[in-house]
This record gives sequence, C-alpha cells and structure tokens, in this order.
Amino acid sequence: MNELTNKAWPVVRLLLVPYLAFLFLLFFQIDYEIDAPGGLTEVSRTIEIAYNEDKVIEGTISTTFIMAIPRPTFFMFIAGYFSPYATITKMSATSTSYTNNELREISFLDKATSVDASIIVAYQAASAVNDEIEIGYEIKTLVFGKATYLSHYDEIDFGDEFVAVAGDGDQVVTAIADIAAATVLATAYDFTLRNADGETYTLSLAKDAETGKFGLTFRTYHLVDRSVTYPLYENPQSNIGGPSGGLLQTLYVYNILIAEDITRGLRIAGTGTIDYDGSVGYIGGVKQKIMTAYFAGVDVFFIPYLDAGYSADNYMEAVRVCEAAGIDYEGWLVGVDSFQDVVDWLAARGD
Amino acid sequence: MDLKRRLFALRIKWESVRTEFGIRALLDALCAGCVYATLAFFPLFLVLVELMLLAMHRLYTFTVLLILAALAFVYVANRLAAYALKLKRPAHESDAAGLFRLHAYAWMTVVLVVGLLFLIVFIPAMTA
Repeated sequence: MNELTNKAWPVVRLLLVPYLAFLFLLFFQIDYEIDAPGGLTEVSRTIEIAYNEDKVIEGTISTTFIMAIPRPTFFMFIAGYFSPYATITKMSATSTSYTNNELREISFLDKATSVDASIIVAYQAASAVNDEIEIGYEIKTLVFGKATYLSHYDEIDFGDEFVAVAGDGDQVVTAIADIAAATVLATAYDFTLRNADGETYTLSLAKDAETGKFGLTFRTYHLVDRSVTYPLYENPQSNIGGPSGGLLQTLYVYNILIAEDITRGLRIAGTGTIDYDGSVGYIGGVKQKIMTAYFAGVDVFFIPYLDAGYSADNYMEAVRVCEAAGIDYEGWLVGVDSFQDVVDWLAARGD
Repeated sequence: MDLKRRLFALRIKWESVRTEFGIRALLDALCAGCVYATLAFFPLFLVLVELMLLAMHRLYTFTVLLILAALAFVYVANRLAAYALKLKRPAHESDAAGLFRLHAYAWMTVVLVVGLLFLIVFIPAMTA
C-alpha cells in the first residue's frame, strides 16, 4: 500500500482539490425539485383482487410514474438543466419544511388513500352491473400536514386519524370544521388521535404565538370498510407514491369486476386523480408523463381535460408537449373529465 | 485433461507468487488496488446513478454502462494490485501480473453474470 501511495502521491496531490470539488457537486443537495420521466406500472402489480380469475384480459392497464426528485444534488441540478425532458422547480415553502423522508410518507399516504378512492368508485360502478359486488366505506379525517411549530411534532405521524379535541367549556369536538370556534380561550388543548395500529393517544397541543394555529393539517378521506366489502382486495407494498394513479387504478379494478374485457387488447396508460364521485382531478409532471408513455409505446393515454379555456389544463399542456416533441397525439392522447368518460371511450372503440 | 493441466499450472503459479511475496504482501497489494480503484471509480458510479435517476426511460442503457464500469473497476483494481506488488519487489521472478489478470477475469465473470441477471431477470420483473 505504502509503495503505491508513494508512487501515486504527486498525482493524488494534484487531483485532490478538483476531486473533492467534484464530490461536493455529487453530494451537496439544494432546495429544488426535479421532475424527470419515469416508467409505467401495471396496476395488477399494486392491486390484487381474487375475483373473476378465469377472465381473459387481453390488454394491460398501467399507471404512469415520474421521477420526482426532491433536493437533488448540484450535479443532478446541472444535468437536469440540460435535459430536454426534466423540469426543475424551486421547492415550495411547505415542502422545504419537510425532510425527504417525510415527503415520501406524505406521498405514500396519497397513494394509499387514492387506492381506497379507486376501489370505492370502481366497486360502485361495477355493482350497477354485477349484483355480487358490495362496497362500504367510512369517512375519516387524517393528519396530512405538520407545521414546524407543531408541539409533539415527532409523536404525531402522517395518516394518524383525528378523533376529538377537548375544547372550551369541556365541549368535545369531533368535526374539524368546529375546532377553530371551540378553541379560543386557552393556549393549549388536548387532541385525541388514533395511530395506524388503531391505538388512541392524547396530546396537549399548544397554539403557535405568531399564527395562532396548532400546526396540524387534516384531510377527510373515504376509506374502504373491509367488513362489508366483496370481493376483498390486497394492496401490496410499492415504492411508488402519489395520487395520480387514481383514474387508471379505478379502470383496472372495474375491469376485473365486470364480465366484459374493456381493454380490447390495448396497452392502456394514463394519469389523473380520482374523486369519490368518479370525477378526475389534475396532476403535475405532465411533460414527463407524456414522454414516459410515448417512450413506452402505449396505445392510448388518458389525461384530465377539465377546462379548455384554462391554459394550465393537463390536456392542453399535454398537447403543447406533444407538438413541441413532434408527437402525433391524434387518437393517442385522450382528454377525459370522469371515469365514465374513459369507460365510454373504450366502449365506443369496441362498437 | 486439458483443464486439469491448466489448473495444475495455475496452482504452480500461485505457489511461486506466494513463496516469493508472502500472503501478507499479496493482501496488502490487493487492498491498495481496491482502495485506489474505489477512489477512481466512486465518482463515476455516482455520476451514472444520478444520471440514471434523471433518465429512467434509458434504464437499460444505464444498467449496461454500470456493468461496464464495474468490469473496468475490477480490472483496474487488479492491475493496480499487480503494480503495487511490482513496486514492492521490482526484480521479482514469479508471474504475479498473470495471476492478478486471472483473478480479474474470474471476478469480471461474476460481475457479468450478476449484471446479466439484472438485465434479463430483475429489471424486467420490476418494471413489468
């Protein structure tokens, strides 16, 4: 070792500073976010339903994921700047306050709740044509965001369920809309929450002196009640987060539950969140998703199309991306505003 | 029979290198080769992984590049190990360089097999 070190030392000494500078570029992270093309995931890999197992499904239904890279290294930032397919944005103030791990947890919460929404919408739609299908759900309020000033920050997890808060005058508040009105007189209140294991816990949360808020953000979700749902489904662990697979998940589940194969042998992909009434919602990373689907050679790509007059509408943006990249999008890119739109488009193709 | 003869010749070669340098010097040289090859290749691996994250649609291309980089790493590490031994005893008589070359080829075969497994089995299974 010493002989080689002695021999190489002049070269090592010469290259040491540029070497360390290069390593700095490769390791130092900055508060930006890069969206880059990702890939397709067949929904059958993320939702398993033991039903209609003899049914022959000729096509495939895939969600589209992109590589959303929070806090890239300097090197990635430079490479992304020169990439024609990547988009670099400054991290929002909310995102900056979270660690990468917390951002991942929020993303997985989005994914899990989007699967529940897909199951509810697909089962309700399928129950109209198949008497065997049963679906039940509960409405729950979950922790979706935590401010830096939240007291007991580390004891509350994303996804924990809000149960109640002991408000002024010993009133027990169970609706989030009533919290502000019932927590005026004191500076701290007892919040009762339920964690993922079903255990309830109570914490005294103090109001922030500057904002007058507790620092918790809640969202209300419809979650599947498995005790009254048939057929049951499994949702294997996946490394992909976010709610944008909702529409295609719904389509896949619906196709499993009905007798007919609506894929018609097509390689179907798309993007869009799904709401409980079956309507589709906007997503981010349109450019990267379009390029991902194009590179993967899918037959049809569904994308939210809610307002032709809105310049940032997903479909309008996708059209601009296709035109800029020289992609012929006619018959390939399909704008939809609801799950029913997708079913109707596929049915029309089969006629 | 031919294979048996080759293995015997390899054993003779190993014995002569071991007798001339000793196990300690051989391990020291191998360690030096690995350390300097790691220093040289570590940034390259990081660059490839970071670029791969930005271009997942070129996953197979970057996997092939990573396999080639790993093959080069193994080869360079063994070349440096042989060079370190040469520096220890410039007037050596045994064929240490030949032995490290064979050692490199053996490990390169392992790297290639693992790389092909990724290309043919693991990545298609993960991205299906």
